[in-house]
Amino acid sequence: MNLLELKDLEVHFITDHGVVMAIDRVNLSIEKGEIVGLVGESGCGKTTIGKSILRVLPEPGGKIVSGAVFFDEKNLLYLSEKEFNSKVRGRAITIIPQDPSTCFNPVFTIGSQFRDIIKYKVDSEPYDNKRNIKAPKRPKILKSKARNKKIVEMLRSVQLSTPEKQIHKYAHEFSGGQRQRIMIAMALAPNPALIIADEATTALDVTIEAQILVLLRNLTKEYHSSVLFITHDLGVASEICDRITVMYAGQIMESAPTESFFSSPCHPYTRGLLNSLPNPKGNIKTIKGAIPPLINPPKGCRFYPRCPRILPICKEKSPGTIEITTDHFVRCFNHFVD
Amino acid sequence: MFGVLTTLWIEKLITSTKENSKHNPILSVQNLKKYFPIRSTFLKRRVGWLKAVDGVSFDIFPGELMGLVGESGCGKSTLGKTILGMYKPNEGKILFKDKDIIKLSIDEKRKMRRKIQYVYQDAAASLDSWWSVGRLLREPLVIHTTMTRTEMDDKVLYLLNAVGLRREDLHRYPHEFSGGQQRRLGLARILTLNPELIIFDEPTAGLDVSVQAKILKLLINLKENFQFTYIVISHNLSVVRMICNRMAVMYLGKIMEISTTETIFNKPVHPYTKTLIEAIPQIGERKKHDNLFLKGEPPSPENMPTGCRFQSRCPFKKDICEKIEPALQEVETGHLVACNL
Repeated sequence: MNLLELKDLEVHFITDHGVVMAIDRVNLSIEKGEIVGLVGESGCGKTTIGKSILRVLPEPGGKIVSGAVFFDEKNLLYLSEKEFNSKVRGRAITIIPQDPSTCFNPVFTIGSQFRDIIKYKVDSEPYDNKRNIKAPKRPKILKSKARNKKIVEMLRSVQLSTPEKQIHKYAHEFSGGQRQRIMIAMALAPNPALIIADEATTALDVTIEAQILVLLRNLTKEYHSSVLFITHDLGVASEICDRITVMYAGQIMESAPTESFFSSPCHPYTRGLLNSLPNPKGNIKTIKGAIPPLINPPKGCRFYPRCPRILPICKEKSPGTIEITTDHFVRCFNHFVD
Repeated sequence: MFGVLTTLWIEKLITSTKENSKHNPILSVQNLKKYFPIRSTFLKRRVGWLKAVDGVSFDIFPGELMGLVGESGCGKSTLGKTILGMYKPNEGKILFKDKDIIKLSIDEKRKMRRKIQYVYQDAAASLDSWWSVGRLLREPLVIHTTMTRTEMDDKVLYLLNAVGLRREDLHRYPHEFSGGQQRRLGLARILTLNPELIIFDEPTAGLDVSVQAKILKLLINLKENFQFTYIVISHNLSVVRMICNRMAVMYLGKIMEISTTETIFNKPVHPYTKTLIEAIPQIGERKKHDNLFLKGEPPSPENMPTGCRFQSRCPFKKDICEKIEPALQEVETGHLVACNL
């Protein structure tokens, strides 16, 4: 059963220069306990997808124009802001942000910021529409000692050494890897069904990155959470994901289970990405050109100006998504067959 | 076409290294130490040293591409900046063409500076946002040469071409360019003075793979056309593996292993190098060697452990490591390792 399902999601940004079609009819589904990788160049709309699931698109300008976000078979777009905030955001769906150094408040200790999460997202009763007439139930006042115990337990699970002492420290006193661990602990604390990891390991060293990846994999298994893993590093995606989805200019180009994705990539763009990885032989191949402006994207397939396998039809018509083998979807007229 | 270029390039490298073995090194760093004082908050008295670079020695021969690899905070950038002369080292010598850079007079230093250039990690921050590209590129020429305006314009156009930018870009401002283009601009600016040694600080950090591939290709082509010597500081081992022919692995201010890229990747000797290589995310394979999995983070360089500085994370640690700090020893010709085991 699908935990999350995006159906024909379309997101526009209204700017002074025109309407940016950031997400164009995206279909994406995540099963329970699955780690799905969302890969693509910067500016292709990966983060925008994460933000539209959590309904935190930049205001004013960002807007979900059409489509639906089904989560547990309920359309999240129909929930009121109050209900969404108390039931979904930070509780059922959490996010590990890209840059952990700017996401902590520098004037509060890690412990006090963590306590807020425990207080409002774990201990408190979620807001319910039916009881709307009465005054909303106040959060249960737990002794801060009990909360601290929970925090220490969470921090220990992400392998932070001496967590009892660490909760009295401020964000700047930690290294990048430690901050990322604390963020993961915070994201896991409400025991969410879905975690959106937005470039969670991009700023880290390879050694720390490897540790974080193993940690994330083990913890999500333990907590039975699904992960939407947004990254631009195909190597990282290969190590952690069960399924990989490639985005280009706001559209999903290819989606396949990790093994068949790397053994038989079919879309020319995916091949281009794989060929441009640095390799010891030094025969690096590049994709010519750059990402098209999304204000008026090319007519037809959005990738055709950079595509090495272009057909006349590509300039006219936008290709539909086809399933070439079981569970391997491609959006191309002239995909590789092997 | 590119395949042909690379084979040509490799052939050239082989011949050039053969020739170079007779020559003197272009840069020779000898027992370089750079310590930063740690001061108390009240009286600003020195309470200790932060040993950023702690006794580093290596040689670079003309035409060589040297990689400098290590985790963040291991002193890679400090080493690069000390070579450039931005920091005054506490101890040691930096010989550039047999002249000690540190002891040069200000005038000599200025002349020398155009020979060694540094490409900054944050390309956007290293370009003045109020200056157009034309003015940015002309500035070094105005300071260091006596060219006329037309000569300068010709040179600037030639360089723009060399790094893959267009004539129209002359009148644009740095913020109008993408991350990859900003790196190209930084490169063009460095090339204006025909340097002999270029130090790249994280040339591809924060770029997409497709853009990274283009920059790497550009670096290789430039090297081929202009005969530079490179030092590439990076934490991305696959990038270093692709463009460098020799590399040094640094850990907490010291070189742990130094050899040709081939030998380091194929038969690494130092446990740290092994774990680093093991940690590179590989396509199509999950981590197998659990004992080569590096735990924890590097200790703070403020209070270094006695003995080997890698002991706290080393999977093969023995008693001897706590007492004796290993020195760089040659295991094969040109392959130096600092390990007790």
